Amino acid sequence: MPSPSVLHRSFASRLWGVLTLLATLAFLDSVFEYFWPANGVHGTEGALLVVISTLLMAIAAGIIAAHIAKGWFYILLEILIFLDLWGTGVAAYFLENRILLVLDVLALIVFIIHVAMPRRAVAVS
Amino acid sequence: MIRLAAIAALALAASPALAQDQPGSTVSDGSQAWYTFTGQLNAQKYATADQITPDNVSRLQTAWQVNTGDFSDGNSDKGPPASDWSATPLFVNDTIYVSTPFYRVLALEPDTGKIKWTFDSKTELKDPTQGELKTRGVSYWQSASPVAGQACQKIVYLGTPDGHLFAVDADNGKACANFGQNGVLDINQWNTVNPKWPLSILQPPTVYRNQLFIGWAGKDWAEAVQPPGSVFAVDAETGKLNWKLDTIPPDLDPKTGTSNVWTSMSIDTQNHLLFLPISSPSPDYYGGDRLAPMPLSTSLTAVNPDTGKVVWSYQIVHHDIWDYDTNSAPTLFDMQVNGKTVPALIQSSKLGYFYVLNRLTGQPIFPIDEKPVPASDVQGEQASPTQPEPTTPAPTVPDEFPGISPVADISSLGYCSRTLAGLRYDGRFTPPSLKGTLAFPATAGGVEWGGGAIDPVTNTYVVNSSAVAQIYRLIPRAEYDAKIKGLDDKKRGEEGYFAMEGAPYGFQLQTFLNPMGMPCWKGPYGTLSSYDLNTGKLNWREPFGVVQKWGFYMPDSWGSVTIGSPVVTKSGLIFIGASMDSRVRAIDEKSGKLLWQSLVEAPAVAEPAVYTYKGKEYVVFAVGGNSILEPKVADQLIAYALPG
Repeated sequence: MPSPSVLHRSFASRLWGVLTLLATLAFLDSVFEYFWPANGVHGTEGALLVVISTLLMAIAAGIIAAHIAKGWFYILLEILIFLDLWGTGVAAYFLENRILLVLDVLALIVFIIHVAMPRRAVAVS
Repeated sequence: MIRLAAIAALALAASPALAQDQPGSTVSDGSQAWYTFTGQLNAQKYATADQITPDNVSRLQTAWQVNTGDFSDGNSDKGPPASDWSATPLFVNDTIYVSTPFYRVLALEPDTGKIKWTFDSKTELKDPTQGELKTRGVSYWQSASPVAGQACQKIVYLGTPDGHLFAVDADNGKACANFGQNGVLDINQWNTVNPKWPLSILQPPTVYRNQLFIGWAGKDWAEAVQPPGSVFAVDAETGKLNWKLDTIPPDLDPKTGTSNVWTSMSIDTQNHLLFLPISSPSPDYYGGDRLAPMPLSTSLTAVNPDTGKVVWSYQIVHHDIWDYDTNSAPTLFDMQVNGKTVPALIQSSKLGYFYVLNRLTGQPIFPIDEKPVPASDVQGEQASPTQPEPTTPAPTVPDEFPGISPVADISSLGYCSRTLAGLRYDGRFTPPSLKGTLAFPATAGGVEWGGGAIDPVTNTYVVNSSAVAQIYRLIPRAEYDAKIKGLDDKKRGEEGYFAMEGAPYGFQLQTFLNPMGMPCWKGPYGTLSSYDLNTGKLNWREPFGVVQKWGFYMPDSWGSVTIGSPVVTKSGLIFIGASMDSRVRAIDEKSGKLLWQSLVEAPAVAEPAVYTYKGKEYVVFAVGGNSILEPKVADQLIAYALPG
């Protein structure tokens, strides 16, 4: 029977895995929108911005999911992902990219669940 | 057949000024043709088609589309300049006719978009007056008594920026040898006074009976003395000059020029009147050297189409020093006044004002007051002490500057407020000044060259309008020369410098933006309005279109600056492109609510055409963009219809 601490760590790891997946899907959608000519935003600075922001989000979430980040680096990535989620969401809204907005909101929910989890310091340690 | 005749009769009854005696105003099944730039000679832009309704318009889908290949973003140093495509597609002779910015004509099948024939004028892809490749479409004429087997009984006309008018057989695209010199009329042969540059035929001629009425565009803001405004009436089959109207008194030719008709005209076929929207004289922003009266400048003028004699003229701006050209064909309609039917017209304007006049006399139907306006503080200038200001219908642009946008101001650390504090602004008609004048509305409109559309059954008038603030600054000649020294043409254009060579001042025109490109004034920047012209009252006004910057769509409440115009259908729909966000839309005429929209490849700045062919209704847009809105161009001709 695994201890609650181990269960928690496993759950947190899964959350980061889900967030990585959502960010990767958001990145792929952003790339598609950037290059697809019939959407009104292709090739624009705004579309490029969310390509970059979702890529960075996927990388950061992947680093945490792979347990590479520890200590202050982990916290820094958490903060950057949070800002990235908000910024990408706002950009998706004004780009009228509904798919990206849905993925971003789902990722934000996952992030909030992670933050709301008790004893999250376990994951940090 | 009876049904078709009934429909045609109903259409004629509903549209009293419709050109019932104009060959080509119907097609082979008796349904309505879309045979001029403004749909009909009365410029109503009203479609009698009613298959597409507010209830089913949401099901509209692409019926066909064609990419012509004729467009340029102007970014290549060796390639052609940028293209602006504002051509209304014509539906007539059971064919769609449209010109491209590369000065070709395409004839297409109305139901499939399949190309029947093309004509290439082989015009050099340079523009001697506009800096960009522009076309607003073609004109169509057909003989009232065609001779079987003889060529050119139906003719399509294409104008070019170098002042040539091509005539080709509408059935096969072959040149009409009897017209001009082997199918080409050079109107520069009549460009004999101040012939600084060719007379550019960007606007297709107006065709009525057996005549073409030809206006032209010049090179704005470059020189003080330019070719004087003139309108030519030529024989539709031969190009022979029938008459010429000069809009400037000849003794003023050494001091000024233009006052030309660069936009479309309209015709009252019942009362046999041709209406000319006449632009401002040169130099556009300084009138100190042209103080003598020029009553036809910036006016709406009615002439006899047979003789060119002026019947009446109404000047909408006295001594114009703002470039407030009369810029669209007036829309003709009939209205009830004290129980009597009055033949009326409505003239839209860059000022956002509407002038409702009796079209037989030019007398205002709704009151237009001569109001005192600010004096000029520029040496040598004498602004008119009064200007006509209509109050009914209410203008689309507010009388007062709407104030500084907090978002633009804060994000630029107070740049907008600081700039405004240094400008002169005393309300409408504040003259250009040395310190810089805030012009609101500015030369960018108000209402641009598309004008409005009317449902003649209800006299509901629908019009899109922009609210743009610009800065007008006169610069003493020596100072101007020093400022532009070392700047190439592109840089001068970017910084808004215009020489007005020969005037004591150069000129700088800038849109009032902060350094990030955000408008410094409060929106909405574009609206769509509906008026009841029986009473002059506003039915509704909604922000229209969406501003798009870096791909981001701004809030709907901002609206968009627009170029292009609406059309109205019998079923109560408004179709319009025009906005910056590259969408075409269907709006409910009664409520102003958006019912349908479709993304296209660039801003659709051309007026759409609505027609019925083989029992099916189509709405077709030429999608080409215009650099005034944003540098996005395309070559898409797209038709929509209901499925099945």
